[in-house]
Amino acid sequence: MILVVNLCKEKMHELEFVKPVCDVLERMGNDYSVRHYLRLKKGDLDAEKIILCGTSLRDFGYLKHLRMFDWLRDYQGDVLGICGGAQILVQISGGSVFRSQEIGKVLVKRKEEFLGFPEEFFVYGLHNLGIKSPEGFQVVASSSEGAQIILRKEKNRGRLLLGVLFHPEVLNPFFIENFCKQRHEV
Amino acid sequence: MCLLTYPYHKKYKRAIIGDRMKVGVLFSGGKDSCLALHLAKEYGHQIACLLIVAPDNKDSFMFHTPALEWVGKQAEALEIPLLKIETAGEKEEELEDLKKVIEKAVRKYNIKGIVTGAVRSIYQASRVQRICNLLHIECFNPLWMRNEEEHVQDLLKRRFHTVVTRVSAQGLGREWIGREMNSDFFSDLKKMHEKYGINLAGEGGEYESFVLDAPLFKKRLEIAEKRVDEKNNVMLIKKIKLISKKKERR
Repeated sequence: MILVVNLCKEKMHELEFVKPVCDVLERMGNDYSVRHYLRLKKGDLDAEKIILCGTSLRDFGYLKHLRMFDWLRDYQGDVLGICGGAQILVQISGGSVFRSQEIGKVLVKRKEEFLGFPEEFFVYGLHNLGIKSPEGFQVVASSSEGAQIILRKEKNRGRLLLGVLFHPEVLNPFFIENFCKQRHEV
Repeated sequence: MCLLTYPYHKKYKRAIIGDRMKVGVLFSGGKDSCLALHLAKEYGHQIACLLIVAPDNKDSFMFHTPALEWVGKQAEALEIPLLKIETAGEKEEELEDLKKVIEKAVRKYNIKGIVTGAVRSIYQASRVQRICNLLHIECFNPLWMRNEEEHVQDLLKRRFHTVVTRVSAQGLGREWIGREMNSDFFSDLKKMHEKYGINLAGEGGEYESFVLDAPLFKKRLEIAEKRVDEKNNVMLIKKIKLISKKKERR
């Protein structure tokens, strides 16, 4: 079971930022459930993996509620943070965000082989804040504006924390597919 | 037990149910912007106005609908005010004009967001996103990344009365122009999809549509006079009648 966490303040934005991620999971035949971050229950965290979806450019509500993501520190499974989700992951892990705007197609270069990405690829960016990689995280791919994919493999807990600043559900759905399929050798 | 006991919880619980927001809909008269309008209404938003940008340039990347001059009739049928701006349709100039018309809507109707019918076009969606971000208003794309089959089924389920106004793809000849987009149309289109790879929702510009009636229309539109421009595969609407649905029901 995969838990999809919705960060949207406006309900109609779920159609734009949560549903496309769910559509990828559905196409794969994955079992998943969706929960808004303000309505998470303890049982939800039994999920094998968690995806934190992004939200709109003008929505910063989730950043005012970082304490509500404290559970990320104790969660045992793999986590994929998309856009706003990556910003949360970074800040919970001791990193920070900074003003950086990317809207539309963005060219990204990867530093090492990762989840099936070529050396250079286009992504769909939609953010007003960039991410500064926290200690212990590795920057896997970057654009001219900064880090685009960061990850930390926690060997002691056997989990992977993965943050992507772009929206893979738009141009790179295989990224979500590979994240869900992959059993990481951590 | 809820995991979260943060004091702001109650305050934000209201927000996620969806605040009623005054929005403007970027409208082209086609099936996608009309469906986006219906979704915005269903999500509780108040549709303050329709916005259209009418380009002189027929090859405009941003705004391309052959029946754009008849959107006024749709606005009348919907009983929603229309804000229109003419543009030369040159690449950056038309974006400046789009910004102007959105600014006007913000001033006149105090809208807090724009709704678009963008499905897969990053070119269009990202440009509207940029303008909304600049003007500090929300941008909603409720059809974003929709699966084409699901999109088509939704249109059929909602009983939109839509006709094809232009075709531009191998396999779609003149006989497709003016066709009503009903279940027969989509089943024929599926065959073309299998043969030529035509997108069912017309996302590759295979066809353009014009909505004559939909659940939120107070009146329905009827094409009284039309002509087919065979050179450009376009239906040219010459006259449209507005027919009261109330009277028809009686």
